Amino acid sequence: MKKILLGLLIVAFIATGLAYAQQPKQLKGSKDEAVEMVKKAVAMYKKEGRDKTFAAINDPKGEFQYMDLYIWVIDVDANGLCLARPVFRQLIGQELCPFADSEGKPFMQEACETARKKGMGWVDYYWANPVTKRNESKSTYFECVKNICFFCGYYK
Amino acid sequence: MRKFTIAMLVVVFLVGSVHAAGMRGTAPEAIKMVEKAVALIVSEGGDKAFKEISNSKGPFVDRDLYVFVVDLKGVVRAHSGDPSMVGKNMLDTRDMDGKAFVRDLIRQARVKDTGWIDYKWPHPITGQIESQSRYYHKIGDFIVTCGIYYLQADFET
Repeated sequence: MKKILLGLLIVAFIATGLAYAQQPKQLKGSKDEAVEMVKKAVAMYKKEGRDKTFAAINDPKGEFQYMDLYIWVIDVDANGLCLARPVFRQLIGQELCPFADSEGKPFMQEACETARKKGMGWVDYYWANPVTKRNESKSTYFECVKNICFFCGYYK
Repeated sequence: MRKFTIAMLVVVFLVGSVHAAGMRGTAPEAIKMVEKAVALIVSEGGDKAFKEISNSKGPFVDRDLYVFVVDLKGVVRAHSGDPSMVGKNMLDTRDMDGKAFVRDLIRQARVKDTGWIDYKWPHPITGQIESQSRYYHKIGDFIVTCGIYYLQADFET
């Protein structure tokens, strides 16, 4: 009986510890990895075309979702119509250019303007982290092929 | 030893359950807090009431319950959970479903003075994004709100 209780106690402590433990660091993608993922998506889009690339991006277990990094695609000529993404897939089909973040910053307006003018850039904002499930500060790189823009951000 | 172990187990489970349930406000408490804020706005006037509400250690914070007030342009006029939000325009702020909940709130409040809106938002204590139902009461050009959070994370990716 004593052993069972001790066992239970240990299990309870481990469970509590795990529940409160912070996300391990290796679940975090870096700035370089975010840029690299965008470049990879752009290269695939140019080489393999729209259907195959979007299918790969839409696959939640595919190569365009890695830890907390993921690619998302918009058509900047269609008010930022979201065409593909592996997580927060509810956003596919929504126009993203009017989006503001939790601080009221119209970050997508800025990103869409830069995308139209320069075809690439960075944007900073707060967004949900799919791994930690928290609202976190994020920096996102994007690159466009004509009106189709590929985004990938890292959480700071 | 056995008694000690049992006592420890009880403590561990008590702490766990308090943490899970005790920090959460209920729907009637949210409504009560909104009506208390509305009464303050009526008696003291907007500016003074907003200052009193925007105190993260004041009477308009209780566990995970907090009040925020927006005007009909979507600008935050008072916020007891995070006073630094005062003055910010939330009209185009989206949750991760893409829901422009302040825009929806204003649209709904123009039609019906009191009611509820649903969206996803970080829980003020745990920081985890959860489903939230917010009660609102429109008074003149201001909408006073207080929300409750749901235990299930309901986090669709």
